[in-house]
Amino acid sequence: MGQTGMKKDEDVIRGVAEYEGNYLSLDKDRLVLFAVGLLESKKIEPTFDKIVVTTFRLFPKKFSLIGFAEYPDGRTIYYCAYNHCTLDKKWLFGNVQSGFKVTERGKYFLDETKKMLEGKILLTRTHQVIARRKETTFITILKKTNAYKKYVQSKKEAIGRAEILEALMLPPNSKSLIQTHLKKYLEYANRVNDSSVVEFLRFAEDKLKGDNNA
Amino acid sequence: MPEERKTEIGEVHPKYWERTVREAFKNDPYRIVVELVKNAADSYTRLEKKGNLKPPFEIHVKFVCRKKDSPSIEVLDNAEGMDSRKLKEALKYGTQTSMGEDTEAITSAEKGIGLKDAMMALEDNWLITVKDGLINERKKHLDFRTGIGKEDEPVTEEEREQWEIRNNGTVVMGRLPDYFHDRKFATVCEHLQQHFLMRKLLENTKYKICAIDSFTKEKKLLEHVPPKLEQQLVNETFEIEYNKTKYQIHLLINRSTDGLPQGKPFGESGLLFFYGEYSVVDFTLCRFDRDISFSKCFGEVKMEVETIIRDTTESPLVDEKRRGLDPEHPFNRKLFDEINQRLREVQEKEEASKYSFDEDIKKDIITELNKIYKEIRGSGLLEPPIKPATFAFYPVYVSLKEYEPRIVSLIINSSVVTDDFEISLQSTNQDIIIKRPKIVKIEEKPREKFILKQIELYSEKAGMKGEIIATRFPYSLDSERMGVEVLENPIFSPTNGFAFVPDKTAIVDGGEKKVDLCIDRVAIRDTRKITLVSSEPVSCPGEWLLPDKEENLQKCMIKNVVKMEIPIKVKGTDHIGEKANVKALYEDKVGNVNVTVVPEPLITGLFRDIRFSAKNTERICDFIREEGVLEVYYNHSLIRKYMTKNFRNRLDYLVFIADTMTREVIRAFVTSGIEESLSKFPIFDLDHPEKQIDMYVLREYYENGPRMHEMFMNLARTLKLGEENN
Repeated sequence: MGQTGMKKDEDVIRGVAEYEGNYLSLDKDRLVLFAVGLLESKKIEPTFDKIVVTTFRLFPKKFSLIGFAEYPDGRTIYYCAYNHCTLDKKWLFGNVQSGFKVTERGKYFLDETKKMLEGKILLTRTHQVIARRKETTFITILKKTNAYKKYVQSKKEAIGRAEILEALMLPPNSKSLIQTHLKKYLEYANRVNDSSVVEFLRFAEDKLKGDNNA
Repeated sequence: MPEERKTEIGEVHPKYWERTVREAFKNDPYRIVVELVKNAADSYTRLEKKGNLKPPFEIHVKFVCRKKDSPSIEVLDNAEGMDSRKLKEALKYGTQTSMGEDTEAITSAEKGIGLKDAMMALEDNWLITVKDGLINERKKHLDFRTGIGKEDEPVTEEEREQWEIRNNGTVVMGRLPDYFHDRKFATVCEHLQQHFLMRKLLENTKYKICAIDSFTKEKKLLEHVPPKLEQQLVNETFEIEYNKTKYQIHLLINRSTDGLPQGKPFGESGLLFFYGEYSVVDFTLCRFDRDISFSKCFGEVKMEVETIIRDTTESPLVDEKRRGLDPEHPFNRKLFDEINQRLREVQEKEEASKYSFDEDIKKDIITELNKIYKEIRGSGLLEPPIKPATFAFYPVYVSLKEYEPRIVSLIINSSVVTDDFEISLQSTNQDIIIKRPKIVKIEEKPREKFILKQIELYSEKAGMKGEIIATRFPYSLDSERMGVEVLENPIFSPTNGFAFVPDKTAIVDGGEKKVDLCIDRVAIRDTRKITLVSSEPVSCPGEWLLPDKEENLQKCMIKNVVKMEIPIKVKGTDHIGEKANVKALYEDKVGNVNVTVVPEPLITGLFRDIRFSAKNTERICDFIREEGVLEVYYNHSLIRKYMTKNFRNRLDYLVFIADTMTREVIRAFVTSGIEESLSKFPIFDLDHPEKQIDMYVLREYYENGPRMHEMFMNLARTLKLGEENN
């Protein structure tokens, strides 16, 4: 395909709009497979860059970078396309150098994925939306602490200072670090858009301030 | 007969009596007599405790036996007697009166069968009692009213003579109900002597209980002769902790020289549960009740539980219908567990099976059974992985290995299921076979939202590709596809035509297993000998011979390969983590398998063992839930019938054993599923669940039976004689 052809492919991909149905519950591998299938159906060679952009444009909520919703998470798409869909599941054939192609086996899963996106088949298990990064890792750990669990259960009175310090990964006598940790956690919570954690952090801040004044 | 002058109204609704006491009496009419005798004995005991009387204590039980009617009875004691106040309490329901063998104990309507119940069961009943020179006469009507004859009137000499009450005492009389079927005095006496509730009382030398035939004036001293003792098996005292208090239990288990009759109320083989000196509450062998292997066992369980019985806030240890100890009561549960454990130990010492199954095959089967149960549970409790709007395959594409069956699922949304619903399955490639089922039918309206049907696929040709198409009939032609590919099975392409497949394996420390040595047919020459060498700590036979005749060789062949199962074994134990190598040499070819010694994996799940047991039971096969053991009893006459010459290869033996085991396993699945409240096995009538259980067993039998049949037939073939199972 010539220069004009390449441009045409890019234009087509730029014109891809976000998928209208609910795609958040599907796993990322299926969504990447769907994107490759879409490219093939439009007679566009599914090279890695095209897959990245098509996947991101179709499913931005699943494949954007944390804190940068306008950019695609190329690393995740690579892992899905090559490590998972190609090497493990054998839904795709190829690699970054030679491009990708849906296999015979992959066609069955592509059909199944289309049905899932159309709501004809529902998945019992729902899959995580946010990529596993430092922000999500720390917020996940915080959500497993006693202080956060009590906060969610509306047992604010039962939350002790020590429990809050533990939730924020603070040593017992480190007043200087409190603000730094709180700031970091707030930043992470805002970035992953977790309002309940933001509320908890505000509560923790007040509680720690109150205890210091006392 | 006394004359009724007035009546007093009753206290409880007749329904209560109908539901509990009458049913208890109907099941065992001798309880009426026992209750009256025991009341008389209790009265003597109280007098003795007060120091007012010394043994022997005489109780007279007079019978008027008739050919065509139930006998009349008079139970007489010369003990305390009752004044009108105490009499009122004794004949009233729901009050707490101090009347039992233990003066501090409480008997009330909710705690046990009492005097009023026994009187109510007697037709034309009367109670005449004399205390301190005053006579009282009462009768109990069926509507719970109390009829009153004489009330606190001075007793005359004539009356004393008539009722045979010398000083103080009580006589209760009446006609036994129609459901008391014994008519002969001798039979009645014999049954009274054998009755488990009478046993401790009759063994107690303080009490002289005489049965008197009113017509012949024959007087018979009732006594209980215990079975002839061969050996004492258990004599132990242990404690049961309940509500932070420890209660002592004295357990005695004996073996008699002869087999004894089993079961309540007249059986001898069993354990007599009692408290105090003679208050018997049950006669059972717990989970081994009516188990023939225990037919020589007898004994007793003395329970120091008076404080529980006295406690009004405590639920009764005896069940509402007075069948015996309530198995659901937490104290009884603990007690039964302890006793079951000891009985099991007795059984294990007594019985040791002469037969055993091949360990590897057995373990594989146990794992498979647990997997099937997990599947059954999974489809009942957990949701399927996908929820289709109509139906869909899961997974949507599958890879088979040639000569190895593979199970896939078809998930059906029950909203599309109609009465004549069916899905037909077709393979687009004739070399890819749908082993079962060809047509999916839903017999009854499903209760789950999604139905999971298992489909077994099989192929013998590697490289084949095709589709399984499921088409729904009758109103729709919806279809779903599943892609299938058949992969090469590595056993058919051994390296250099001679290799162990796989070339790495793990073996349990101290265990043994078989490894597959695969030889390509074209690599086989005239030499039949394969030399085997192993390194420490694994041992194997020094050589293995290939079948010498071509026809025998053909029997070991699958496709192009001769598969030999070579046994290997770990020498001793304590080799966990060690690695060894087994080398096979054939002409110029060499095959190697690397072996790692691993610890014994814990078998978890419903099934943990399968035994061919020597126990004598009425059952052919049983699943022992607490141990997770499936037992087949080869001493059962039906099994013995099949176990004749070369039975291991006889189809009738294999089919019989496999079917018996399959049915027992499926019943265990269903009953366990019901206990776990799986939505797949709902029970609507909890009092009579048998019908529904049978229905579920049948359903599961059709669903999972064929798979199990095959497994158990393979297992039954491996039965070995001469190796101890335990």
